Amino acid sequence: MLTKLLKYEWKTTARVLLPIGGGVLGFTLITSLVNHLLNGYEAWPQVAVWLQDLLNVATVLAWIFVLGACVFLNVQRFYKLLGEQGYLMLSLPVPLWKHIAVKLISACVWTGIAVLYLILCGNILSGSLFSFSGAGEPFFAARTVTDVTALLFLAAFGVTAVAGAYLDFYLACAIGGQFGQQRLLASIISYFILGFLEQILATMVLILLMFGAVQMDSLWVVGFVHSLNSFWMMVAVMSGILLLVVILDAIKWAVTQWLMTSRLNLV
Amino acid sequence: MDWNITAGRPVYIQLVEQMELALVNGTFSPGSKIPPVRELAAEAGVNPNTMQRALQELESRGLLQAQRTAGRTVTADAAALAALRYKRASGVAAEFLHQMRALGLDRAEIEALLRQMAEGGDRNAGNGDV
Amino acid sequence: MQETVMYEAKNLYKRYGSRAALKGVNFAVSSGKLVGLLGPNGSGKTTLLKISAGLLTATGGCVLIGGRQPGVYTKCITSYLPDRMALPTEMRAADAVDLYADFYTDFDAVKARAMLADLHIEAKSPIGAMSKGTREKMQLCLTMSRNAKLYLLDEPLGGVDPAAREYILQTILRNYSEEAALVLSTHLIGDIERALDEVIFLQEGTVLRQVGVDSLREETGKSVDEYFREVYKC
Repeated sequence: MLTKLLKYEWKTTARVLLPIGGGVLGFTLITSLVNHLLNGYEAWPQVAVWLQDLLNVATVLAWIFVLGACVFLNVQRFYKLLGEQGYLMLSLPVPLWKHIAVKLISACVWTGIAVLYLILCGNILSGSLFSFSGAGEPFFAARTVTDVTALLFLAAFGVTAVAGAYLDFYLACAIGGQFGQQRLLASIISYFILGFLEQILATMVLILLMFGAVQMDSLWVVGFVHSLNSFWMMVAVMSGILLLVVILDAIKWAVTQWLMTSRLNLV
Repeated sequence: MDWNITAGRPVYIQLVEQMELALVNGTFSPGSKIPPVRELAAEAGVNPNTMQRALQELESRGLLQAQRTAGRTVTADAAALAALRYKRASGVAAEFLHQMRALGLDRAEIEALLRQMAEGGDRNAGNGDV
Repeated sequence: MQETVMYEAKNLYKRYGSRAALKGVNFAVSSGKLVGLLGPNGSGKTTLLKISAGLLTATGGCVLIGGRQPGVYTKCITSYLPDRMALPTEMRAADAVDLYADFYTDFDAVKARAMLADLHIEAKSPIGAMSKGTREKMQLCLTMSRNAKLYLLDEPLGGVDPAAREYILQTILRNYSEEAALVLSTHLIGDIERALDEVIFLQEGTVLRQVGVDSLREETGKSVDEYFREVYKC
């Protein structure tokens, strides 16, 4: 059932995103071609240079548009689940967690694709399509266990952070869905309130940690850190942070799922 | 066949009556197979259970016969169909006489009127202000 | 015919904020019955059906379908037609058929395609480009192409012209599976009452009466339609 749902999700989103992505890619290629032509000679009039600058700015704006469209579509797909389309999708014999999982997987995958896509576009524009001198280098340069571990952690952070960002949107949609009217507005306001609360929470945790560290004799931490070599220290610290992010994501998911099962209220 | 289900009276009774009519006037000829319940029900726009009940009623009176393979056939018993025709005709005749008496016609006048109508045919039937 | 209860509500409550939409609804519907859920707008028909389809959670009491509360199991055996257009407009007709075929094991795709062909709906035509009437018919065809144990149809005859009403009624009568229970809500009973076994009258969130169509006609000498108008006069 999960794969079937994914298939439909993929079809629907691809139908919107692929044409946009394709169009912008074409635009980027044109800009790149223009740059190539103009940069060769110095004798062009000033107007041509201005136009070239304009074209480059438009291209970068188009990239931002693609990224924006990707995020917007993925959030909208979830929001629609609580609207008219919910009448069809939520009456399918599928447990709710699968609906959430499908939306989240789809959103994360699309975001990942969007990042790779932007790297590709950037390389095209800078004319270094086949030399991964910029972003790609650390991946290829990574040789030691420490490097690989660090990169894996970074990737895990990236995924959990993106998932967390989408889960924030989903939770806001689920809260907005509790209202009878003005759901969109309620969802948007909930989103900002959620962000606000998360910030306050993070600040408080930070202050408490510092306070605690000062209050308690925190020398054992120093001792602990010294007892480890740098590799295990990195693993310990990274794992701790990752665990925290995952727990936060899980809480958001759980609340969203609870709101949509025991308090579901399709208008 | 044309179904005409009116308000106010139980649907089941109206279905029995109209099926009887269809059997008597040969819409479903003796010995032939009648359409399945669901088809008849959809045609009449009625509930299949109600149609089923009506057909069972006709079956219990021997006018329809359930076939073991599925489906029902009209009885081949001409006497039973004749009896039904006679029964329905008597009902209409009795109703006719009742209304004529209500209009104050006596037996001789009714007979004369009937004869005149039957012979005069369509011309008189047109201006039917009795 | 054995009378097994397929669908029942027990003391069902639903509150929207301070307003109560359902105030203790009780009824039972047996397999093989076609039941009309009648009531004026705002009497709680849609709320009741949405709770039964698992799209809304009750405030109190429960709905049981095949003895179970709404969930994945009941969704497998219940074919629900919402009172609005729920097919995604970006889908094509064939996509919608595939979606039903993928998720409902009781879906008869051959039957559905034949019904769509009868309506002259091309497999490739986008749902968004269809007229409202065509979309409604298409949604009904998909709903009725399932061999479900319970059909819940929310206002299937709402706001359509007489010819379409006839088509919809015929489609329902020809296609529902015989062992199933079927409940359809309507605020215009009119000519569909002869298709029903029973009617449930809802008023202000409670069941006013549940009665057989023929027994009501026998008892009152009126059609359900006339009786309905009388009951909800003021």
